[in-house]
Amino acid sequence: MRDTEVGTDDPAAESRNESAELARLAVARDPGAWSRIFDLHWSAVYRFVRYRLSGSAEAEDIASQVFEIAYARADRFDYRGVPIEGWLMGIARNLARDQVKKLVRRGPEQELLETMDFAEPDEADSIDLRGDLVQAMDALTGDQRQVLQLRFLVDKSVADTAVLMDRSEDAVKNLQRRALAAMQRALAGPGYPVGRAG
Amino acid sequence: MDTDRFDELLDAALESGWIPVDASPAERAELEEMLAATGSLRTAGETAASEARASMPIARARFERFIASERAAALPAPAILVTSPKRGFFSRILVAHRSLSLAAMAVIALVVVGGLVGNQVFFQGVETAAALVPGDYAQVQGVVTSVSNENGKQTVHVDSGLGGIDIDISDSTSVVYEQNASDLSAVKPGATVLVGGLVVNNRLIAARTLALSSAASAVTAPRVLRFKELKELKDGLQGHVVTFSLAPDGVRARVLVETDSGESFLVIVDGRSAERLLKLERSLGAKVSVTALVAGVFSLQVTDQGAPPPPVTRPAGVGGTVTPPGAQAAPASPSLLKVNGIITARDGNVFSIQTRNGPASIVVTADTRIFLGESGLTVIAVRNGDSAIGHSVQVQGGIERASGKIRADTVVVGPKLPR
Repeated sequence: MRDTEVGTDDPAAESRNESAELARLAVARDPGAWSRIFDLHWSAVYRFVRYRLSGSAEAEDIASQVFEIAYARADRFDYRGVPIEGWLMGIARNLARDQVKKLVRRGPEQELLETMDFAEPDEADSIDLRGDLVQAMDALTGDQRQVLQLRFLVDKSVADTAVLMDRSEDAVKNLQRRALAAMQRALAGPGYPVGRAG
Repeated sequence: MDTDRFDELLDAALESGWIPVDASPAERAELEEMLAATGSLRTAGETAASEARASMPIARARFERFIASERAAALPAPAILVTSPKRGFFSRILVAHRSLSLAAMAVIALVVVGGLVGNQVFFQGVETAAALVPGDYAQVQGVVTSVSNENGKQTVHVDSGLGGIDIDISDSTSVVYEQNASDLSAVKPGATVLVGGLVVNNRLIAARTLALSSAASAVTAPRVLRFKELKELKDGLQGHVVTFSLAPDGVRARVLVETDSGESFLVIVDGRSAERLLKLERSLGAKVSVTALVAGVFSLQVTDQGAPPPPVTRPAGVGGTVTPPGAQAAPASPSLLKVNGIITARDGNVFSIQTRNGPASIVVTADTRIFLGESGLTVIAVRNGDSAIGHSVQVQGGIERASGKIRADTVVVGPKLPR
């Protein structure tokens, strides 16, 4: 009976069916499915890793590796547990973290600081995230940082962020508030321009 | 302060950009600070989004190449079949059943013949399907037989050398008439059309560009070709290109070649051969010779650049005008918009090109097929900042309806030219 009610007129059910079919094809490493996955998620994955990395070329390389690893491990993907985008974001988070660790091991601390400071020295590579804001982000917990990344750098809705973080929407809203408050405290000053709010 | 209420106020403020009017002064002050902090994050997000858009075509090409290499690596090594001399099937039967009557032998013969005929039909279907592979970019020429519009979805049915093909039209489909922008009203039954688009299945192409020409009334439905995939090179194999399709990674292309004697072969060729075709004034109809490259993959050499397709002949019983061979020059065939020039700048996915007729802007999309073979560039070099400025480039495509810019279906980047 329920199957009858949830017909093709239900956009949410249709979307779930499409996602499930795409996931099934992805596990079978169907090139068309992976092409579609790339088109759907490239921007989000790139934006997600860009925050942690020093330049656009590095972000492009890491984001590309995300898709390559996902394809190579396609047979391990279980759609029932997590949506494709969440899976890609998980790979992206680990790769970006490993990349930063490599820099820590490779060079002096200053190199890491420069890597994480988007505001200098190369304006062409900067994504205009203020250095003090980056440091404020680093003062957050992992979950708080992730919620701000997804909400404002990747431009995900609360609902999408909840799915990607496997939390309830209320929990995401709560995390979001605490993250912004913690960032304000870390910044320890009112030195920001007034936003659009009036 | 009620945290649930504040969460809702914050969420409403983030969505709208305005602090809700029912916020208390204390709530307002705290919300203002939080919104101010998000401003920088949003700006950074927008910049990253712009970078993501710009990097997508190159990243996509890299990913497609990766998939192609993974798939190639996953293929099993060719098995070497070692067989000992054995008595043949029929001789074994005859030896074992010397008493088989002539009637029984006749039945066996009929079964064998039937099987061979059945196989022939089966393989014919397989070969036709293999000409158009889902995900490939293909160029096919044919004659429009009908245009339908159901539930706002337009489909053009085209009779081509591959048989009947449906062409899906979308808002992004570009129509080119004699190298100028046109609209779908020009696409009518009887028109000769060249379709450039992405293969959905062996009978459906999602059109990126439809090209028309004034030759519309001079030709009729083309003859449906029967072809085989070329496995071993035949000496002196030459013919003209009927249709071709390009794999997403640009490493391989499938080219349907019809010889002067009327035989047709589906030839799998390397990326360089595809580049040679794409650089021509008119890729379809070009005369080519085929040489062997590696097992199952061949190379095409162009022997007659820009030759128009031969006059289209009609199947028996089909009405319409046919251009008799040799009676007059073949009518101009449709071709996609062509732009040749030098890359002068790049802004994201838009390349500025200096042509003989002045500057042009070329939009490269995720589905544009990009060939870097003779440029000396590599994907990595381009990714690391080489913008390809100063390189020659040949573009085939259409015109974006919204912006009026040229949207590339294919791009061949050539060597860097001296200043």
